Amino acid sequence: MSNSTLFHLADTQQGRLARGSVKLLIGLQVLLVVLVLAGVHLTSRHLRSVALDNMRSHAQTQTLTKTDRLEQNLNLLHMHLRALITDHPEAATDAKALRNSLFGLQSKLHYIRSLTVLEADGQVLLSTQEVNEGLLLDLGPLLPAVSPHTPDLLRFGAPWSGRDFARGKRLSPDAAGEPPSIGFFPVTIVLPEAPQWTLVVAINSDYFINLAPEHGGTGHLAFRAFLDDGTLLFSTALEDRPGSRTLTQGQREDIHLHHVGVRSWEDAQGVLQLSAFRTARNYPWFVQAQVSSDVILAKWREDTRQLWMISGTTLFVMLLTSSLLTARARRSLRREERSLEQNRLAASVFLYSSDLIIIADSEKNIIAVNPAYEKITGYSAQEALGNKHWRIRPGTDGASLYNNLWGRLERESSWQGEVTEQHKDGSLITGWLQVNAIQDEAGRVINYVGVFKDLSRLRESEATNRKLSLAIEQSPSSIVITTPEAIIEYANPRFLSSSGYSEEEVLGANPRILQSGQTPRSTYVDLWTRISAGKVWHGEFINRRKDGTIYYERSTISPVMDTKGRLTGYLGVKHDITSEKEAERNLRLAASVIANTAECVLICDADGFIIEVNPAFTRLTGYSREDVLGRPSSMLAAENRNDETRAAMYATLKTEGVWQGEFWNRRKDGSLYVVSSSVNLLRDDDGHITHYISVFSDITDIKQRQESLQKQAHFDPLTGLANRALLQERLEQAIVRARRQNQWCAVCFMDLDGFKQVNDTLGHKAGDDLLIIIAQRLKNAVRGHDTVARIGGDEFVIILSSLGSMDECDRVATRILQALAAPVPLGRHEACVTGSMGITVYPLDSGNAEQLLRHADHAMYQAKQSGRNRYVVSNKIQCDGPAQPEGEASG
Amino acid sequence: MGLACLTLSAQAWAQSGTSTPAHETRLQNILSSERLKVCIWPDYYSISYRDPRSQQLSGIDIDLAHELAQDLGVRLEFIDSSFARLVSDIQGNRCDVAMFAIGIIPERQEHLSFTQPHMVSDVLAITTRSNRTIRSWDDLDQPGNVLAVAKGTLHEPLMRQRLQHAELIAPDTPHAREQEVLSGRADAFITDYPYTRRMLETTDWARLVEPESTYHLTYYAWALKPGEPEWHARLEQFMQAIKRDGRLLKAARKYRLEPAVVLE
Repeated sequence: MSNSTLFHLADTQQGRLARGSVKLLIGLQVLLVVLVLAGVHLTSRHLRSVALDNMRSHAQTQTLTKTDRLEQNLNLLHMHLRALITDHPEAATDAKALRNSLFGLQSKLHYIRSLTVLEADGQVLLSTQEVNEGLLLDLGPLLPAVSPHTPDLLRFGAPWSGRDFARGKRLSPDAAGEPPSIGFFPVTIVLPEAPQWTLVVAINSDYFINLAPEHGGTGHLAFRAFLDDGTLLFSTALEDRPGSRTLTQGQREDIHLHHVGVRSWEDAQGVLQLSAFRTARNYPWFVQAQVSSDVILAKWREDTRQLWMISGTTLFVMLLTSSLLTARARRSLRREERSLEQNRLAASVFLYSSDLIIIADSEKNIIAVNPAYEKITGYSAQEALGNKHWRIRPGTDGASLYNNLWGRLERESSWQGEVTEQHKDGSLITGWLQVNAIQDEAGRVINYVGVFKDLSRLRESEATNRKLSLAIEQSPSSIVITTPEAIIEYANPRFLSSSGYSEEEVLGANPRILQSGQTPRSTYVDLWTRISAGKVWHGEFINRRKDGTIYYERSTISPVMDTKGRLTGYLGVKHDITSEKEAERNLRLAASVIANTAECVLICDADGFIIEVNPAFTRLTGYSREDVLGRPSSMLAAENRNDETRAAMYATLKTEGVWQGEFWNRRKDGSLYVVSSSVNLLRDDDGHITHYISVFSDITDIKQRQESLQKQAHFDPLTGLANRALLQERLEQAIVRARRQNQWCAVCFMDLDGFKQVNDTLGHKAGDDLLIIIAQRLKNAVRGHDTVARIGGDEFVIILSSLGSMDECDRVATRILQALAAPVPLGRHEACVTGSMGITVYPLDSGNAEQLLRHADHAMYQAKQSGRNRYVVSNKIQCDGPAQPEGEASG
Repeated sequence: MGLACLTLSAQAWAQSGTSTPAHETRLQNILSSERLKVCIWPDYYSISYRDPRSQQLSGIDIDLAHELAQDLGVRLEFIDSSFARLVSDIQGNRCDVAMFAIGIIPERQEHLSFTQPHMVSDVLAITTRSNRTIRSWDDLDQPGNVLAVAKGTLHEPLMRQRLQHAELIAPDTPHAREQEVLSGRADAFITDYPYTRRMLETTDWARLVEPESTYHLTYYAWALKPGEPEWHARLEQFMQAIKRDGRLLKAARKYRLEPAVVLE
């Protein structure tokens, strides 16, 4: 904790230092800029004044020089002119001598263009330029303005253009046009020795112009020589026109007043001109040097521009350099900050790591452990520090593991592996140990750092995870996990198999790829409403597989939250319920069929209790569903008429599972009906009967029609007794039964005695009534299972089945005859008839049915013959002997 | 050209053969007397110029004359001459050779023998800085202009022949022709390369006017009396030697005459 505080402190100090130095540097840069700008400005101003001062001083000096030079040249001229006559007195009178003197003088002074001698009237007497001779010269006004013949005085005239007087012209102040290319100005003198002449010297102005420096050090001074009246004698400026008067009155007065000076005058264009002037000491002219301030300052401007440029460049370079240095310093400070931050982070990792961290010196002595050490091992830091034993605590891993570890670390700089250590309390700790050897630049190991990760809990968690993972992977339900943006992150194999998509196709896709368009929109709206609210949604989708087939899915979709309650995604668990859906539909169909079919359906459980009936059942039976549910199906039966059928039914069902047959039942109102029933047996997977399903329809009408037909075919319409055909059938059945049951059956052939008489006396109606009564008496006289048949007018056959002995046969025969013998009331009459009966017994009489009847008929004849109202047993049998073969007995 | 020179020289020698003692050639005379007399024009700046300030001689031909005397192993004596006096000074044996960059022109070849040329120059003009009319070579030959040449120089006959509009004046001396220009009586004077160097280097007012293409090339050499083949051959030998060994170029460089020097 103190460590991290320390780091923070250093951090903020460093930051403050960095910011402070940056501010200082920026401040210094600003100061530098201000100083340089101020310096350059001041220097520039200074240079400007120096330039002006220099030019002022230069102009003044130059003016002085030029004035002196011109004046001295004129002094020299004056001297030479004076010497003309004094040196050569003959020249005063001799024109030839004078001409020679003039040429001599001309060759001495280079600025002399020509020398001319004027006579008093102004005519040229002679000239070194011969063309001038004979001319009448008008030099105009001369300065100084004195008497024209004042001796020994140099006087100056206005300038002329041209090479000489003859080819030239005096220039007037108001002349215009180009300045003349060549010219001169006249100077006159009257020599005291020859006052009759005026000597005119044409001075070459160009000579003095050429003496002016072409490009003076301070440059471009224009020199002008003016006569005192302001007439320009000559100028070094090409554009100046000699003879013109460019100075103002004020300027001339200023010059004449002060003789020497420097002025700043504005010219006609308003440009400030620096002007220096000086008057000649002895002559009526002055020299002016002039230069435009633009020209003076051009150099200064150029210098200033260069100064600014150099300063600007220097400043830029300095600022750039210092900025780069600042940036570098800042970067390195930031690096330091980052490094400190990393150290701080490293320290906090050390302090707060859940992994155990051990730091040892090069001798493997523990020098630091982190708090997790105490937590994991149970030992305090004090117990660990200085411990020469690197190992955490001896656990189950042997010394060999550590030997391997140190051996490996000598060759490589790190080792890692799983180790098992022992807690202070003796329990084992399994974990992953990584040991790094920290080396200095020379490659020597300076520290060992071990990080031990306690994997005990992780292992448990891993096992759980593995279990969960397996469960999800193998889940029979489709499981899909999406991001909060509904992008599929995971889908289990079941999902893939049920949707038909591959893993690559669904991962990163939206679950809407499954949509078939058949799921109602409201389902989705409901889904999003619920899961957006953090609730779980249950519902069904109609989805489409990749192959285009539709399937039904029951889904549970729920938001998945992390431990802090933030949404991390959605979980969908889905079941393919397509088959259920189909079954349900089929069931519904079946139910509908059952409900709507005209046939009655009855479903019973394994114990025969009704569990379901259909409306047709109610219509037929009159019982409502509620009437019959939970009751045995036998309740429908009419008394016990079905018992035998039922037994047969169960037997058949057991073996074949299906039975068809008829039942006699009674409706709720008691009326009888008969149904044709089809019963199916349902079994569960173990073969246990679960249900009986009976489908039946009412066949009462059919049955009655059948019975009626059967009656007509087998019964005597008058008496209702069996007819000959039925007798035949019954007899054969009785023979079969007797044979099977090893019993006897007797065939009694009987003819009424006295019936013809009744029929003849009382009529056929009475005969029929008699027959009906006799038939009823016969029926009553025999046993239930015996058959009585009428086979002719008054002939009856009685079959006594299941006879145990001859005695029983005798008793029945006797009873029959007694019943017949009783008087028969016929209206107002009463008739007495008796019966003659022949009897034979099977198998004592081993003949077939026809034979038995014939034998019995034959015995009846014997009874008739023996006196009527009696019975005779056929001689074909031996009453008390064992059964004999038929052939032998009758033979 | 060389052949023509030789022919001319031979004629000259034949005409004036009697004036030299027949028993001793000039070269033998020079060597025996151990004295070489060289005619110079002391006003020829950078060729053979006597500095008025120090009265010391300098110039390319002064240096080469010293080299010649040294090669011959004799004392050197300079005799002042000029172009005007050149022929008579040579013919009169005032000197053994004239070494002041003498232009080889037919008029002179009639009387003198020449070595192979060591310099060449076109015709050039000097005017004043202030002159407003003459700005280029073509401005020279215009009506109203006055041009000056020194009397007796090779330029006088050349310019008389060439000029069509301008007036030509020929003062007696080179100095006088400058004075004509300075006083404004003439606009420019005609001269050669070495003289223009002097004007431009020593005066403030001179301005050079050059022809834009070659106007008239003149070769400069040393002149000697015709009819002295031995002496002539020795001079030619010297001329070839200084061209070959760099003494000519060195001297030319010293007086800034490289543009005019002939090394082939």
